[in-house]
Amino acid sequence: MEKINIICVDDQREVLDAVVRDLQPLEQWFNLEECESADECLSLMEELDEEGASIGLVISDHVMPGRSGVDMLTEIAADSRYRFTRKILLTGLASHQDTIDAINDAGVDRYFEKTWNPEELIAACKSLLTQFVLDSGMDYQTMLGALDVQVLYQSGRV
Amino acid sequence: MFDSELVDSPAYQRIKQVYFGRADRHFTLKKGKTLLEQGEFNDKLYLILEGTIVGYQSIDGEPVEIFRSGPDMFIGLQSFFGRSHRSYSKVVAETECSMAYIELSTPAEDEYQYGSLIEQFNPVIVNALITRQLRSSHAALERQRTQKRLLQAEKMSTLGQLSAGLAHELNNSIGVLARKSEYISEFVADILNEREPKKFAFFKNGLDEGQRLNSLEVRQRTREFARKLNINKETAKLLAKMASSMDDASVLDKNVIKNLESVAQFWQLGVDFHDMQVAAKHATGIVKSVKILGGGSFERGEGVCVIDSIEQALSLLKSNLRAVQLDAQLRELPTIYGNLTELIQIWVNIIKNACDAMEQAATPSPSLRISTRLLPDAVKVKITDTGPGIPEKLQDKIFQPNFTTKKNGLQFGLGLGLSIVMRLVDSYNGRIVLNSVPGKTTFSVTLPIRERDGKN
Repeated sequence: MEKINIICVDDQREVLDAVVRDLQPLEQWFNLEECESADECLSLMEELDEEGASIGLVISDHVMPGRSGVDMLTEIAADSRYRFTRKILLTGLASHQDTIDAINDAGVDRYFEKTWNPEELIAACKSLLTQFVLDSGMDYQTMLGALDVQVLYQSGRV
Repeated sequence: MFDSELVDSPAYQRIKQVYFGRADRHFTLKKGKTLLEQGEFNDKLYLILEGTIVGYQSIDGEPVEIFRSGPDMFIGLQSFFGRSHRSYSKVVAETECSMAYIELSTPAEDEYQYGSLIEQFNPVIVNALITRQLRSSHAALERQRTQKRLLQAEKMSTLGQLSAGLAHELNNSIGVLARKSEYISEFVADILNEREPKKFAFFKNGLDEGQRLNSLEVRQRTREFARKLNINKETAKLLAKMASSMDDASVLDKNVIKNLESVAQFWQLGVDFHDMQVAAKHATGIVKSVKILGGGSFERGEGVCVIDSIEQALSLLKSNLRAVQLDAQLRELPTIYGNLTELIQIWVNIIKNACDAMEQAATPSPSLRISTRLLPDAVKVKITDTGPGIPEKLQDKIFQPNFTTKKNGLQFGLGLGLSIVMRLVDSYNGRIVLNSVPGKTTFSVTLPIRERDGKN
């Protein structure tokens, strides 16, 4: 089976690199993709969807040239193809209103402030990806090592 | 000055002619001469024909200016008509004055038609009263404004000192981080160079160049490598990233691919040091700008670089500009007479205003264009945004202090917005022109190159 995709979006290459590096422990089970803009992310998702690949998680910065992170996540939230895709907002600069929009319109699952703690970020990713696997009815047995046991347990699968 | 309506009125013109027209009651008062001492006996009513007269009252031993009168204004109204016959102030000629007067003994002219002396002078007295009252309320208002400005200035200077202190502290910390990361990278480089020349080459490339391809290019090359070399995606991606700072031949060497994991680690380590240095440099730049704005001196001199000031303003506003497409075409300009901090303040306020306007209006793909031009005696900077524009009826108001259309009161304490810009540009004898339609708002600032030029 193709690996589930995790897409990281940040316009600052150095920051993007740091996020992806922190997520490296997940690379064994997931495919990490990097995008430097919201539009790039949306067209990548389009491509991946055409190839039949699944997108489990999008981690995005908010303030970027062109479309903002919350805007992009809102669009993803409204697209039924990505209804199980989980979303993390990872930003150092979001106003009160941005945050409200992120929760109400984009349905963001987690909010991380820059600078983030890598262990917490990985734990959040694992838990969200586990929910994604369960929601989309995938076989979770092969990737038990990558999943959040607590979430599996609560769902009654373990 | 005297109410012009009254000056033009027949009643006043008659009084002036009838009572103050006689040459034998005209005299000249030399500049600096005292007409009346405070408390001195006075039985005359003076009319100023030319010059300026100032009245002082001694308050706590200090002379305080209480009125200032020019042509067609009267002196001694109070002591003459108020029957006190004592001057309540010391009256001094500020310039050479040509004066006319009447005395208590001067009889009313044409009493039958115009009434008694006091009746004839009534409009003049009332007018003088009103003029003085207006003057004192204007003075009170001015005092209030000055106080407000002082308070504001005090706030600014506190903020300035705070930010200068903050900038200093941050600068030290960033400096330590930058230097230590440099030491470590030098140390690693030396060891590698000695023991692992192959790995050193990869490390050095990462350190010098960083990752140069963008994410899209990396993805394309990853696919290309995976297909051509028949390798898995992770390996291809690593190769693609490294290929961004090294030539393909050395990256795609058979030995490299075989030992990819081990060499790639060193390339990545180099990139990490590269990124740390980029970040430190960026932070240092911002701190420097804050320091200049917060604790900068405001002395003007020759040799100020306008381009520098624009670049500093841009780096200060980096976070505001992150969502904005920036097109800065800064052509080389001669240096001008001025002060760097003030110039930065001008640009910061205009650019920040543009960013705020575009953000508030949720302008789609907001962009900002800055261009510079050299004129015969001046430099011109044009700053154009694609925001909603400034409605025509507000275009005059936006330069006034305390005028804002911003809903959120939170402002970065760099200034008072466009009123500061106006004041500064004015003080340079420069000009600021606003052109605004929806989707295109341009502020053009012209600053003279030499001190006394401009505004011609």
